[in-house]
Amino acid sequence: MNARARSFLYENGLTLGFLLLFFGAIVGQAIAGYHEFNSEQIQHGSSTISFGRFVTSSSFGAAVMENWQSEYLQFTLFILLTVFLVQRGSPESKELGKHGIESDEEQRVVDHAHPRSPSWARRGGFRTRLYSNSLVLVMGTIWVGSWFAQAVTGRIDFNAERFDHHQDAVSFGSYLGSAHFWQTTLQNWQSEFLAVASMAILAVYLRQRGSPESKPVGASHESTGMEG
Amino acid sequence: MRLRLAAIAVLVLALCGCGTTGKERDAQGSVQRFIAALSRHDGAAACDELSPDAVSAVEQGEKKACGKAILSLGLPAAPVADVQVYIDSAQAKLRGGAAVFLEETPKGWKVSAAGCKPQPGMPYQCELEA
Repeated sequence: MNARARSFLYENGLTLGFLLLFFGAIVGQAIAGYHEFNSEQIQHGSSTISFGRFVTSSSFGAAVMENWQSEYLQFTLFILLTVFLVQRGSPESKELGKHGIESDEEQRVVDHAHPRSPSWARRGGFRTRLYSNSLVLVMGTIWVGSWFAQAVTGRIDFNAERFDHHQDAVSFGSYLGSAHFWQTTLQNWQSEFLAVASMAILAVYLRQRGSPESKPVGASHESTGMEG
Repeated sequence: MRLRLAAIAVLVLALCGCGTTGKERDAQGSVQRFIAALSRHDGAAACDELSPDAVSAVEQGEKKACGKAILSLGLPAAPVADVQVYIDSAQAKLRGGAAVFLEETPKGWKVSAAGCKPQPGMPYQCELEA
């Protein structure tokens, strides 16, 4: 491996590492889900399906999307709420008194931009406003898109089960108001919100040496917005 | 403009669960053959459209071979009004309100429940079910 490739791997290790974990986990989910699906098919006296058919099915799609939407909601809300809410002592929080969108000087935009600032941070007007909120906008869009995909695939899965039990299918609108949709949505949301709350408060008192998600080991419990 | 129209088309197809018209045609075909067989009192042909579990249920319930048993159930033989398919399950609503439920098997769509009457707030009550 040449020096340039090694440098790329090193400088992008965090993203690449988690992408590898993601691919491993989703392949594992597909395999386990395929076996579970066919086991249920046999229990119900129905025919089994191929792996290819399973990974393109609404059953698999719904299971993937319901998790994606909650993760992207977690990050969207975390990014947005940390603008306005603080947690004394947490490295996940801004310093007390610095809540809000901050000044142009602090955010290094337009007249206060540096030569190496992104071009849209320097341009001003609509472009700077858009770029200033681009992280929430993209994360939020992915959240809405995956939640919509969860609703579409979940309804198909739900209606197949309703036919198995000799009931009428429900419309998309009815499904959005159904207990099934909200149960699968909220079961994911509760865990995401608890995880963020846990992280915010645990990081006040606990440390992980070397991680930017933690304060330095020797930092006081009261120091806020400090990364290790 | 074309991209916008394509995106809208994908959205509509996804929302309506369409794109399964081939499956709906096949399921409808099975129901129509089933109803036609009942109409001409051809019990054997009607049983050919039943799932294996539905055949067993008929024979065990009536204590006769399926071909004779199925004709004594008095199943409605009205024309098909609507067919919906979700994955490997289908429902055909007949004119008059009765319904037929089907499942996709290795041998195609087969009737798993017939003579199903709607019950307010409850599952359909079926004369024949697997």
